[in-house]
Amino acid sequence: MDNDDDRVSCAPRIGCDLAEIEAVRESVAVFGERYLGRVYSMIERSQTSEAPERLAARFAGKEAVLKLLGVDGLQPRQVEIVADASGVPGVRLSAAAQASARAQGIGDIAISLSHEGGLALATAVALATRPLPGRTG
Amino acid sequence: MTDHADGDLAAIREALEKFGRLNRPLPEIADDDDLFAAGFTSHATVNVMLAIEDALAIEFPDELLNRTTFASITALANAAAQSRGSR
Repeated sequence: MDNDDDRVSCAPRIGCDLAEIEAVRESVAVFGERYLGRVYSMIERSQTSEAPERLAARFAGKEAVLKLLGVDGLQPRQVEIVADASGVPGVRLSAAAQASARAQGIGDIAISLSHEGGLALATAVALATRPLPGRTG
Repeated sequence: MTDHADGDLAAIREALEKFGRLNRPLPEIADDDDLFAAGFTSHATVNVMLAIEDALAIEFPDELLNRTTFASITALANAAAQSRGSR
């Protein structure tokens, strides 16, 4: 018998989300600091200059990652969308979100953001590794 | 928990009316109807939560910020009562 129990599969995971830029603009106008503070980290606020279209892209990014992780009970603040020095967005997870990712064998998560025509779009992609149960035959 | 203060339910309905962006008229939505099936989005849940907090002078604790809390008007009323109790 071969060693099937040690085999590990890589399954692609994807999550996507759309956010209305006008809805974000309204949230900032109505709730201001309470909205910004409950949803975005300081670095996200700084990197977006709190521009509604860029915040909306971050929000969509957070939700895309939460969908990819597939776990209820994580909040937007537990996923950060942070650009590197060259402006490429990446994903930073809180300890709780990292634990969820690790439990599913999810390592790095790639993210892509866009906005156009009043909507912001994000897609998150990762590979999840899981040990396969033993096979017969 | 089944009995909710009329004020809580009214505040929740007002918050949904203003910020819920639902695809059905609110009067047609029963207290136990699925709000996500009525077009409730993740972004709208944030605004509705903040509006309810303002109206009822409460703060939803982090552990209640999940999809179940926002699933229906009844679920929101339960969460509001729980938030009040946790202060």
